[in-house]
Amino acid sequence: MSLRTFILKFLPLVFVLFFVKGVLSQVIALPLVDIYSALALSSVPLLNLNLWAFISLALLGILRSFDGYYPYFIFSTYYIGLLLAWHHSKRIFQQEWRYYRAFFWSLSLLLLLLLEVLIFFKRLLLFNLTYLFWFDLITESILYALVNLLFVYGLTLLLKRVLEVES
Amino acid sequence: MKMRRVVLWLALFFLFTGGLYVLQYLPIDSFFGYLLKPLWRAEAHLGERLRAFFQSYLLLTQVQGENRALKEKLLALEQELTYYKEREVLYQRLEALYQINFETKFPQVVAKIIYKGIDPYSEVLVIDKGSREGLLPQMPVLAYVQGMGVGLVGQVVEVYRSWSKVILLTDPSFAVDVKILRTQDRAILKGKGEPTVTLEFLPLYSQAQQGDRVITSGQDLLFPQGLLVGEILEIKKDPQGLFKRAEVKPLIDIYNLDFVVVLLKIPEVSL
Repeated sequence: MSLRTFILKFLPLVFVLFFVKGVLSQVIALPLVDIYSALALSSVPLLNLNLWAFISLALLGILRSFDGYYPYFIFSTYYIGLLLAWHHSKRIFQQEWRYYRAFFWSLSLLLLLLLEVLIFFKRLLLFNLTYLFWFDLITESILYALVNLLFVYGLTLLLKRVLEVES
Repeated sequence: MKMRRVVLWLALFFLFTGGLYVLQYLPIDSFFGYLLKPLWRAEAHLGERLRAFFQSYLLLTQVQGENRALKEKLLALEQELTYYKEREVLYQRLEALYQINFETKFPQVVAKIIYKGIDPYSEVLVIDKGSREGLLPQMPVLAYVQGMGVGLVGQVVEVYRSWSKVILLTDPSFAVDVKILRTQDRAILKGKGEPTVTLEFLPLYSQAQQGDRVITSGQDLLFPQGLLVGEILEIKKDPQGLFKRAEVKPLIDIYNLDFVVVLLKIPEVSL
């Protein structure tokens, strides 16, 4: 990503999504929508490995942490880590496998769930859990992953147009 | 050459993440909040307008039925009020007689909710008042529950100059000492990241049942007593068999809430 694309395209897109999410969060319950993670995951395969890509993902990580009650570096490290993992694994596999991108997103979302659940349990006392609690947590986590996978797919189509990247 | 490039990228990665790690110890939150606050305000204003539109135009069909139900409820409540007025007179006499007064007043700050950050794993609100108005972490956050009284919303966790973060009572890190209004049994209420909260350490002999109101007990020296918390949905025996456990539905409807009240009250003992 160039500085020009970052300022003229990426930042306005983040601004618009931030605003839309903020308005919607006042009107309806949005517990399953994680727009920043979806945007980070969808943009990772479209970004070149450079400083502006790092800054874009770090910014998304900070916004994601700000959205909840998390330390800053957790999500930023995760997003930047994904960018490095994508580029190095692409180099290892030499060519893009047909389902490689979907496979990468699924693995990344699994990792995100693991991260969220770990942070969640760090703040929760284990002895107040019941069977129903586990059932609800698993159902919610699966729905969270599926909704965000749909978002990732939708945002990729949008980002391809916005960033003018050829697939 | 290839190795050198990998090392370079890894060094950049660690430099970045290390920088972000240090960033969280600097007063940068306040700066971000300062930048985002006008945007949050605009979002809250637009969201409020949208909600008002849906409520006033599209949900009018329910109003007639609701009006009838409210009138019936009003009659029942007026009868109840007469009874309680008598009780109040009696209580005031007893209070004067025994020289007791539980009523303690704390200064209050009315704050507008400007952002609702809710995901399956955490429940946080951002309000537009901060240290400038005297807010401190751990202060209780309340709201008016329609037709019932004052209800507990949560607790302030992070305070900056002109804005603060509040965790809801459904957040996994929230806990409060409560009692059942009807039976006066004490218990601990804990959030778990779900719409309902858990009531723990309810004594086995407790006669509490579904539909009972839960209020704060004031015994944790943090939340004043008598704040409405929720209604019991279900009670069952603890797997360990020493206590009962209940599921409680909070009375506060967070999605129709625009303003909250922060009680300028700090814990009476350092926790």
